[in-house]
Amino acid sequence: MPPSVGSSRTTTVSTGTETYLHHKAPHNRLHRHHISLSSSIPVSANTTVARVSSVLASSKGHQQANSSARYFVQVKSPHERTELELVDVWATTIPARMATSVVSHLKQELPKDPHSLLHLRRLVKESDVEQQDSALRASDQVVLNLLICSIDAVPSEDEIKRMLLPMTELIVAKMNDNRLFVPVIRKAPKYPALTKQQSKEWSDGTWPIMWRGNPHAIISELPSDYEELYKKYIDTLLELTEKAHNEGEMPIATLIVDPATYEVVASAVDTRNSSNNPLAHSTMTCIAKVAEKELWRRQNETTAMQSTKEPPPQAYLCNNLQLITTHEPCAMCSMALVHSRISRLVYIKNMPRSGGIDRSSGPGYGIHWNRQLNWRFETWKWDGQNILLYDIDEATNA
Amino acid sequence: MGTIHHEYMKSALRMANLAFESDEVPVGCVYVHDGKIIAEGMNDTNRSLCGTRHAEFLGIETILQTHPASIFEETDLYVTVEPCVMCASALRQLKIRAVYFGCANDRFGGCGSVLRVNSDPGVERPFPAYPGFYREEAIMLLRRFYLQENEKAPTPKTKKSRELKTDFSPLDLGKYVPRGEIEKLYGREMLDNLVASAAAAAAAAAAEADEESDPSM
Repeated sequence: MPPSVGSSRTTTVSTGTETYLHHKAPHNRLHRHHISLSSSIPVSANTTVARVSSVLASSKGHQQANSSARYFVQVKSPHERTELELVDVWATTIPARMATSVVSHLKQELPKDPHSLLHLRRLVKESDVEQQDSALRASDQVVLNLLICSIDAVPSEDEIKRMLLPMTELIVAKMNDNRLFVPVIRKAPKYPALTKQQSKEWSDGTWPIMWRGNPHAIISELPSDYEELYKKYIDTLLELTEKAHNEGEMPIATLIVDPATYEVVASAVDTRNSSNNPLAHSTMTCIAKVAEKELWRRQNETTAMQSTKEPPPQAYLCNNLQLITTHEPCAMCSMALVHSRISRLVYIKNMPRSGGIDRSSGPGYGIHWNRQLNWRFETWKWDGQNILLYDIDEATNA
Repeated sequence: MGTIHHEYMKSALRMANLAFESDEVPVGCVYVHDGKIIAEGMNDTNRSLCGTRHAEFLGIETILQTHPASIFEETDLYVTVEPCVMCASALRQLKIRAVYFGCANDRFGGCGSVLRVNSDPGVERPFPAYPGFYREEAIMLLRRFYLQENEKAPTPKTKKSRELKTDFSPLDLGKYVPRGEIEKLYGREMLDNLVASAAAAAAAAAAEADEESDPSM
């Protein structure tokens, strides 16, 4: 169904508003947002961009019929592992009350492990791994299963026994569990899980993964109120690109938004043409604007209020912020998002030759989800139809 | 040691020292065009609150104030630490001629350590990136900086993190530079050192991870 730009748009926005209101938006905010969108979008017959709201209008009926309609797909990384891989590890059973001393003793004895086992739980209650013996549970002799190291770190069982030996002498006599300090080989997930669900699945029947509740863990579907919200932000982006195009700039635009308040913290368009700086990409400028704003706020706050509390020297300013942009960021901009600790990236169009995110773009860096880098962020790409961006050379670094 | 590259790297180290004194992660750089230093840069992320204000970018902005971007095609960069993925991509987009750096950046390096943004197939021409110029000086500056950071930290760290390490794991030069180019670039002495350290590296395969990396480089 083609989008009908016109009266349906208004209907759409209010429909979207209701959905959105229903979910979480404060009334006044949303109202303002709604008004500004409606009033600032000129509906002209010769406009070269289609409004996302009108796309929403055209498919709203469809969406009602099929509530699973989605406009954004998650961009996964080539580094993402979906299959469980296992590694052999040494484990043993220890009295719970000796846990601290055993762990610190082994820490001194063990060589550096070639496998990072930091994602695994070091000590596991019996019942987590297998059914605890009821007699044992009834007695006060609580035992724990201890992960020692990978087999690759210490291949020799005798060596493990030698390490455990001084500990066995400390067992109080009344504990007669014959598994105590006997090394056994277990299978453990080799890599950290990417989601809580995956963590649960991988832990089942193997050694349990420690799920740290990563707030940036991949979710499989974008909640529908976010979809509505992003469509509104995309409308703003399209206005910005139109303006940029008319001013002789590259039609690439970016917003940084605070999902907690719906505030647009900063917005920027590409200015490489007017600034004569090939690196003046909208993402870089947008990040810099967030920092400038915060720097200004801190300086003024400090002088005005004589505030004594100093800000932490290394605050990562885009933590908890999201970046919405028209084109897949280039490697420079993608890595800038890592350095800024952005929590989510949303973009409309892939850049097959220069992009730093999608596995099919450029050399397939997948910078948003690279295991070797110290920050990861979720990325969602527009999958709906009918957003007509201005054509830009496909070799452009966006 | 005493190639012309070492001379320029001394200037980059001076900038890194300035960064150190300004409570910034000590990374410094200079851009050289026609044998002259045309811009300097030092890390500025803490002052600006902006995680992208790396030394390389400060130098780039200085140059663009008075030159067209095309000057980078005949400009070399000397930087104390391997450019990160962001900077490597920026330098490639500017068509920089060559990059010389001190120590590798195992966490973010974009010129061979984590990604090879400088040499992978891409839109712009690749650029060569040569490591190892005053590498130990660059590493020691970083170690001194982090030691000082640890001492300032409200929660006391382990004793180990309070000691200044002075040993260096060998540099795997072959990971970054084609073998045929090594002697010409670094001189005979460096090549001999490389052969020796490669042997040492093989012997100490399980040596602990090097610390040539940091969250804000």
